[in-house]
Amino acid sequence: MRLPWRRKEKGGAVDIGRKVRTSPRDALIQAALAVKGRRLRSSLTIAGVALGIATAIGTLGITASAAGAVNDRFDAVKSTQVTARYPEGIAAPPGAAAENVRSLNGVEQAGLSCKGSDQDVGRNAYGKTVNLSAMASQPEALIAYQATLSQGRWFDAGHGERGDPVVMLDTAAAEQLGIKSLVDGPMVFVSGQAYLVVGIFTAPDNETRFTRAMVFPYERCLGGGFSAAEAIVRTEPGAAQQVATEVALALHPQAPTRLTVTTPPDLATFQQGVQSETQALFLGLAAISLLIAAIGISNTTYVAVLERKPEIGLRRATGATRSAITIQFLFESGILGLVGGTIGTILGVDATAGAALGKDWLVILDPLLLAGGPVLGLVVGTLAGIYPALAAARLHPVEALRTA
Amino acid sequence: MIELTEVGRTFPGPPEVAALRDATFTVEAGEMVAIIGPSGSGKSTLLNVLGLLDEPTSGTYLLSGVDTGTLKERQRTALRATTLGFVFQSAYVVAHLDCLANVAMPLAHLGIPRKERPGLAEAALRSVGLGHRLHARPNTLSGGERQRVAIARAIVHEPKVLLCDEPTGNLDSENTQAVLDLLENLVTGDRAVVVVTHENEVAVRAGRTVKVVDGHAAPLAA
Repeated sequence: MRLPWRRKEKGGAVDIGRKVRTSPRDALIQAALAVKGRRLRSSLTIAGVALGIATAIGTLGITASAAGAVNDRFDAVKSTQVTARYPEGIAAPPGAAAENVRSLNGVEQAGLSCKGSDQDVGRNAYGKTVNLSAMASQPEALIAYQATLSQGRWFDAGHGERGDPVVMLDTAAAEQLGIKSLVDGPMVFVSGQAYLVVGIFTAPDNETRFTRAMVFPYERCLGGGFSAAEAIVRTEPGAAQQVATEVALALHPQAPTRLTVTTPPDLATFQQGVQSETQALFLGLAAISLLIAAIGISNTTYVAVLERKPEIGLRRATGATRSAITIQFLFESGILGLVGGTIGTILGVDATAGAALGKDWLVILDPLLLAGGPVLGLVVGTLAGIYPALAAARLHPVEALRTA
Repeated sequence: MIELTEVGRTFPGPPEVAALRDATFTVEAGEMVAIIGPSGSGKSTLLNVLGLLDEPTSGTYLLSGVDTGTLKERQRTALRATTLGFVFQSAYVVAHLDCLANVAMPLAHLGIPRKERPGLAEAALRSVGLGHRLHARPNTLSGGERQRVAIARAIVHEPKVLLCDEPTGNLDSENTQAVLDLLENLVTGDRAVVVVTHENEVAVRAGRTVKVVDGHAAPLAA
């Protein structure tokens, strides 16, 4: 076969206008052969990239899964509880105010409560006493607080109106007083006054307001010796923020701003906060891992340039232009990054799934990450290859061929 | 084919070094020319200039009738890639490519269609007696075989001038004879072979000799 430039020369001088050009596909094939042919070095570089990408994917995935789990476990009690505290000196009547609150949209239960000073309480007028926290509360407040009745009954309206000498005890207080059953109508004594225990309740876990509490009917609050009243409001899920804006007006229309309303943290904001804080931390770690991977690729590619000077010189001597050399080495580092990114994505997904399933969390992974991992590897690899590729292209053929 | 007129190459210093001075000689198609001289005499500089790998700082170098001093880098690259073939003392076979891919390598830069390259590379390998090692890896080849792969790579694109820099420098006597036989056979009516050597045995095989001493290059009388 006669090659094109020989055909042209048959009748005269050489064609100096002819251009030499290496097609991108040829450069890609040469790059792939170089990566494949230098297996150990390529494998180590790929492992570095894979580690960086796996860290990035894994941390993003685990963070998302963990945030989901935090959301699930977020204290559902607090997320639907609103409290409104009256200022000192303003009486909170037991009737209309609480009724107003209960009529608000999204309110499941509401009641008034107040706290007194601790009291020494005994089973008889003169014997041994235990120190208990004195409270006065409407039964609706206890229910809104998600206390559950263990024995006996809640107060009824008559207990308060008549000023009956009755109390309720929380489980811990009853235990301290040695009251195991209400069948015999046990009495407790406070300052020589006898009170009938009508009910024993259990406060929710991790809630301390009614721990070791002896509770009087709410009307006792109005007689003095107790702190300002507080309304405890239980809302439907998601309604707390809205109810919080309305509860003060419902309780005290004359001066709603004087009440102090406490709302739970907004769930979505809370979740976002947790997620963004943990993601920021882990993304920082992932960025460092990627930087290390990029330095690894850059270093390996640069060492390859130094080692392959004769090959570069030979390619230049046989027609490769500077840009052809640049493109080949960029392709090489890009391939290393792409393969490393793909393996890293698989490892990162596995790590996320393993960690989440091990903790019984729902595995949450953005599908974009699955495509993003290899792309990120490709980008990191290509960027890391720029300097070595330019260094290779700058080599003079004579200098490159002298290195043998 | 090659026409040098008072070609010089001076490397800027300090100190300034005149590695080649007033080289004047010609090489015609169909002849084999040996460039001889002691180490450090300027042989390699001369070969680099002839191979368009380096530019002279003075004089005129015509290659195939083209004044190379007027060419831009891309044109020099194109002229080098199409007109010249190189064989070096080290074979410079690429370790991660098999023989066929090594020989086909220059064709990728010359725009030869991908499907035609294996046939051309195979023909070149067969012409140097390596038709049976087409897919062998370089690390399985002997020194002589590696140099023959290098020669196949140098002639795969049918260059008009084959430039050889100490092509037998790393070979034993048997392989030296084989390679010289091969080079002699590559001298055809439209191709010249230029061999840089310090071995008399190689110079004897050449039809003409150019001697380089202290950078002065001049043809010896036949």
